[in-house]
Formats: sequence, structure tokens, C-alpha cells
Amino acid sequence: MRVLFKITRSLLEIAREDLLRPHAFALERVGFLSCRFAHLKPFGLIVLTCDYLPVADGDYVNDSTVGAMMGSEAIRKALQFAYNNDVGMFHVHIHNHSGSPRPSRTDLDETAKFVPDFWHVKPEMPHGAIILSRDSISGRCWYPGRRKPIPISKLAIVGPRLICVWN
Amino acid sequence: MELNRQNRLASQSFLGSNSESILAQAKIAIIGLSGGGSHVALQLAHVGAGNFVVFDYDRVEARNLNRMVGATARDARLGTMKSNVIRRVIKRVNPRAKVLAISKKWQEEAEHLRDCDVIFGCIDTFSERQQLEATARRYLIPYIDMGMDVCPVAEGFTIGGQVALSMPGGLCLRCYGILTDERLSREAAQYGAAGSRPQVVWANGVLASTAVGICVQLFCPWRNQQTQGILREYDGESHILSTSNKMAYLLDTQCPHFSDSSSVGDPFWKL
Repeated sequence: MRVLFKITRSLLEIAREDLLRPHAFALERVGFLSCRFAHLKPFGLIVLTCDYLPVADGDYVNDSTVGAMMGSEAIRKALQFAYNNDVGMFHVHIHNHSGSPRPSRTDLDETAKFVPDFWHVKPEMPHGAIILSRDSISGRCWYPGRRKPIPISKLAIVGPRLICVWN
Repeated sequence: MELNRQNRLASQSFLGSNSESILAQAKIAIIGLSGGGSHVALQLAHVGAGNFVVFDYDRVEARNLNRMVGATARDARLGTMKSNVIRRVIKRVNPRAKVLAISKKWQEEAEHLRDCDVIFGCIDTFSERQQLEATARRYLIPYIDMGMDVCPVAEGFTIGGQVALSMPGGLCLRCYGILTDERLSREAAQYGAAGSRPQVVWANGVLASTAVGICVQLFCPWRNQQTQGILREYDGESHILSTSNKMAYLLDTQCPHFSDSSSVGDPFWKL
């Protein structure tokens, strides 16, 4: 299955600006991108990003074993947002280096735990995880009916400069 | 034998070391393949664009030969589909290009537009341009609109036209004043027919060259470019194309016409 992900430059900058803000104790920030979808023939998906939902300062848990740990309230708010707005949710964070960002073992383990939870409120929607770097982007998509995430094959940043990243 | 691609594109290497692969992977749709669209297709083939979706439901007629580049007297005699002419034009320049040529109205197979990186609208009617822009916005695709017109005036005729970039999140054809309720209702009163509008190859060429330049600039900017909107207007008397005066007061404007994020994606999502 071919999965394409698209985000406008302006929304990406909003997300990036929030994710790069320092936090009182968390070493990094995380957030969510709400997305709508389009079918791609013969069997593919386009993920179209709509909004950015930051995680509030007070919704992080002080856990020194990871860069950032979301508390249950952060997840609850994201679930509520998906339910209220009829959207899929893609977790997003930044790896502060150049080049293609690859998920760490922690990223893989943690997203595998909570991303499928979005199917409890929006079972018909794909959900996923996006990682930004200084100059690139990568992601995985959990498609309904499939337990394992699908790597996103093309990610496009739509703006005055059109950037397409192929994975 | 196929020419070495690197040699072929060497003179545009200033577009960036990876510009060749960026353009080769780009997927570009062109709607309307006569005066404007034929120039766009030919030029994109020359710069190395690698994937095309081209739509036109018309056949070549003798009256198209004054402006449709690549069309021949034989095409007019045989009534060749315009989309097939344009596929031939592209493949002759760039044999590696993938061309999906569709001889139907674009609305009948609009799903082929969804994964395009850029859409060119080279169509006459305002209602169709409105539909095409809305489709492009729905799938977060930059839309480049071209239009030209010849109007009678007291001393003769004026030739005018414009090229506009409608960028998702940026200004749209309504913001630019290209689409207005008055124009749409006037056209609707004529049952959507634009009629046989006068068109000339040199004005089409100027507008198409500008449109292709805007497209290449999106993929491979040769200077830092930050604008979310472009509106260039063509004055056929002075043969000058310039930034519209409207841009001076539009640049800080937020588009109010496509601000609803619920209009993104398939209207009724189902697995």
C-alpha cells in the first residue's frame, strides 16, 4: 500500500516552532497533527494535514529515562480532538539533526502502544507518527485492519518551495 | 539512442545538483491542452519533468493550428485527440517521461489529479477554474492558473491575460479578483459556455512560459523565494508582463475562502 503525506509549510512551521520551545523538565516536546484522508487508486492513501495540537506544558510527565513522556491527560485531549473533529491523529516530534530522521527503539515501542488507541474513538481513520529533523521528515501510518504500521513512502511539504521526501 | 540526460540538462544545472531528479520525479497535471496547455507541456518536457497527467476531451481542428504547439495539419485533418498530440510532443522531447493522457473532461477522472504535485489550469470558463482550484485545495496541491482574452475596444482590440499561483494556505483566485460572483453568474447565464474566444500563440506563449517558470521555481528555486501568492498580468500592447498592482495590498491578507480545514480530503471518507 502506497501512503503519501502532505503538510503545508505554514502549518509545519507552527508545529516546529512549538516543538523547539524548551520545557521546564522534558528534554523535547511532542504534539499531534490532525489529518484527513483521500483514497489513491488502485490501493493507496493520501494523508492531508489540517491542524497542529500541541501538548500543554502541564501534560508532560517527569521521566528522565526518555526525552519526553506524555501524561494521560495529553492522550485524552488528543483522543477528544480526534472524536470531536472527525480526524486521524499523527504524533509528531523532532530529532535535532540533519538528514532523514529514523525512529529510535523508544519511538517504535511507545508509538506502537498509544497510536492504535486512537481506533477506540476513530476506528475508521488511519493514525500515525511523524518525525521531523532539521531538514527532513519521515513517518509511519497505522491503517485500520492492519496491526503493523506502514512506512510513508512520500512526504510533501507544500509551500513557496515544494519539498518531496521519498522513503 | 537516447541522449545522456546529464548532457541534456547541463545548461540548467544552476537549479541545483539534485534538480534533475526532483523534476524527473515531479508529477504535473495540465488541464486544457490547446493554446496555453500545449506550451506548458512542451516546456515542462524540455526542463525534464518526468510524470504528466494531461486532460483534454477535444480533437484537433484547423482553427487550433494558430496556437496549439505540436499540432499538425494532419492532426487537424484526422481529428487527433489533443491529449494524444501532447503525449507525442512530450515523448519526443523526453522519451522517459510517463504521460497519462486522458481524452475526457477532467471531472470524469479527477482521481488522477490527487497525487499530482502541481496542477496547471489552462481552461476558458470561470466555473471550471473554480472547480479545478477547489479540487487542488482539497488535496493540498499548488494550482497555477492561466487566462488570456482579446477584447474589442473603440480603436481595435486589447490583448490581456494573467498567470496566478493559488497555493494551499495562501491567496486564491477569488482573492486575486479572477473569480467573482459577477463573472460566474454572467457565464452561468450563457449556460457556462465561454464561446470561441480569440487566442493568439505569442500571448499564450508568454503566459505559459511564466507559468512554467513559477512551477520550476516551486521545485528548484534559484533564489530565496518566500511569497505565498503570485499574480502576473500581461499587457498585450506593450508586451509586458508585470506583478499585479493588487499584490501590494493582498500580500498580508489571509485567504478567507479556503480557511475551513474540513474541506480537505475526500468529502466522505470511507475505508
